[in-house]
Amino acid sequence: MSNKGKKVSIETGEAGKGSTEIPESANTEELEERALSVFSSDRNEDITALIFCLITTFLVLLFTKWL
Amino acid sequence: MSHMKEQVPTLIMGTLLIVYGLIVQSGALMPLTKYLHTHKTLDLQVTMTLIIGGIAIAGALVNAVRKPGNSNLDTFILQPLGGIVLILVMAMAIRWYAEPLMKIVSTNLQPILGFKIYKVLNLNYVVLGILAGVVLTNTWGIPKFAAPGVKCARFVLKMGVIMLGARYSFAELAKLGVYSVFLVGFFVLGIVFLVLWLGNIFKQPKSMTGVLSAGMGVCGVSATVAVAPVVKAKSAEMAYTIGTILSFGIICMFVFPTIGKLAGMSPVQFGAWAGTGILNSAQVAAAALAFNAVDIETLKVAEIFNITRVLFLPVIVLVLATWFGKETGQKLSFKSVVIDKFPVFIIGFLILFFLSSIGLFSPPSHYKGKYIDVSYNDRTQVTNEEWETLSSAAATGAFASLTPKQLEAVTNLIEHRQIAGNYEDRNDKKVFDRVGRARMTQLEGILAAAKAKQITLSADVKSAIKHAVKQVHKKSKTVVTLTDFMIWFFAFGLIGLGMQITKKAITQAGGWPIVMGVIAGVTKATLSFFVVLWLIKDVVLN
Amino acid sequence: MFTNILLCSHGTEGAKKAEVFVFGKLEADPGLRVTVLTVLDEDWREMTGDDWLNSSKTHTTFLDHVEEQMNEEIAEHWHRIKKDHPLAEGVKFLQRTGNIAETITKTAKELKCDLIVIGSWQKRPKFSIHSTGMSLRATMKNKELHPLLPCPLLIAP
Repeated sequence: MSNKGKKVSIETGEAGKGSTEIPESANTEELEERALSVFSSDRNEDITALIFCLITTFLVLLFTKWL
Repeated sequence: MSHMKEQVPTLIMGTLLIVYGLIVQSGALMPLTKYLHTHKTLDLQVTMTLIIGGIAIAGALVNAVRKPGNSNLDTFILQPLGGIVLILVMAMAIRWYAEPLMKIVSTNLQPILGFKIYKVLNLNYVVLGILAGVVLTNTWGIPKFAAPGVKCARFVLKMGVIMLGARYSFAELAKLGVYSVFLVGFFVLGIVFLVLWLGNIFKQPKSMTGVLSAGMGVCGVSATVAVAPVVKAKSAEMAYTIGTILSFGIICMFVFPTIGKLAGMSPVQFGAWAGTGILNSAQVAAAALAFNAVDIETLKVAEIFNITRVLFLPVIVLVLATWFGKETGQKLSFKSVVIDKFPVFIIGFLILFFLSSIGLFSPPSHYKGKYIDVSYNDRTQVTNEEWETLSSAAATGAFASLTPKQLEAVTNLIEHRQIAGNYEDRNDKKVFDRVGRARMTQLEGILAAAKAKQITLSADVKSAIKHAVKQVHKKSKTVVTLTDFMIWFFAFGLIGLGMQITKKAITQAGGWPIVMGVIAGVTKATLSFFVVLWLIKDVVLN
Repeated sequence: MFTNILLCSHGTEGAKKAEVFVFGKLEADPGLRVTVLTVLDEDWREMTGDDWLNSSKTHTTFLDHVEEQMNEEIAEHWHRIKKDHPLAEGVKFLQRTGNIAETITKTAKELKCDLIVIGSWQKRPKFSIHSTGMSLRATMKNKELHPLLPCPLLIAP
């Protein structure tokens, strides 16, 4: 629940930064992302997932077929 | 050892795992596991608990001694370790204890209730896992030490989908692809327009019908999240829509498999129906595994539909952006929507599919990793008791009503104690295999005739013949192991995703979204049910 | 008696009664310090549910949008308070993000308030298809708030 201590860099797009009038006193603390990821970007996540899968596949092939 | 305190849960779990692994290895749990029918997994239990327990203890000690840093090792292994171990412990406990116990309890309760609870609610380990995740989040909350690890759920689920790619053949993918594009395309666009039309009738703001139509049409919360900024949805509209979709999806997860079984749907039909009718993509996978967790046929079909939907999402975002008009103030280019949103893991899925297509995992003569081996082999023999049953049945004339070909197959089975070709053809493999397979077909014919009550055979004889047929069906070890990995990935991912479903989000269901959502959702589920039954016949995968 | 009041309002019917009460007191005693606090519920983070298909970028865009939208709605809400109660022009407005009960008590401590005023719990219409209110439907539980209180709590009837 608490991930305040850890900061994971997340690519934020240009979108969603429209102009809004907020009174000076407003405290706009960011809502932190609770996305299901420990990766800095999705491309990294997907590529790592693929590499993990290839390693798993290779090991399975090694132990069940080639050895 | 200043960080010791945070590592205590991981250490305890690791120690318990190792102790459990050692107890299992000593054989002390044999009677219990026999009772639970999990004794065949004992080897796996020992290996998994010892390895995971070892890693947990080692990782926790490293974490306790050294200061947490920002290296890759920290972010990807050391910090999430506690959560990963927690989910794995949950997965193992559910797979080896909760699910078998559930089966035994519901079988015992059958006389009282009149039905088997686990069959009606499809409480297999996948559903139990998601439920456990949901319960944990909403009671104690995700423990602090597990929070970073739970975030790995998405990653692991992606790995599951990529691995699934290895299980398709070209023909299957082509056929399923065509079906899914037509069905998903029809229903996505149909429901999007239905909701927009409903919004018009009920005079609801454009922003609300916009988010709701995407959520109901494409893939639930994912679509809502993607579309909300585009149509400038108000906060209450988003909250109510997400709440509605989440609740609807969870109900679907239980209702769909039950209806599918009652209607006698085939795995392919159910996969297609779930892939079209259920909103959230995680729940599609869950429902498919709930329908059939042993054979992954349903999951295969459902995931293809799922992937098709994912690919439809950017199109819908573009369509809704255009519909909403220029008021959004956001520039939506083709690149920003389609290319940036393209899920790269689908390429991984295709790579595994390609590797499997070139026959890396099993030679082309094997169908889906299964093949028939009718050569002489001690392993494929029937047991001595079965042989005696068959011989005495033959001696007492129990096979009198068989056709000559069937009788020949049975006689040969008794003679060789296994299904095989002719001994004199043993050097000509082709002829030998053909004769052997023909005999197997005849034996299967006997079983079918007995099932249709055209002939009467004793239960012992039937089971002996069944065993003989089963013995020559072999599975490629590689494919079986890969599938096991994949199933564990899915289980892990779905438990982790279950932990993301909070009571707060569900209880947001309400307002106009629930009225329009229920109309659209029920329409989609009902219509797709009939279309799937009418359109998809079982021939698809054969 | 009290000199520094924290008024917590999210625009619900109950909160409107609290506003009337507080600004009535302010009229009677112009020396009173009043702060209006609106809390943006941190549970918005959990509203993405079990979505796993979207990229982190899409999630961030979504949460940015939520925040922007909430800011707009809060600005509107404050504007309404100022319109309803001309005295509100002179008081301080505050917006915070976080767990509602925790944020209220933390702010009260920071501002050294000696009274917190909230609206009473109002019965919802049994079935309403009109989405009213701007925040999440879940309400704060007094059970959560009470043990944290740094000063007296007044619930406007």
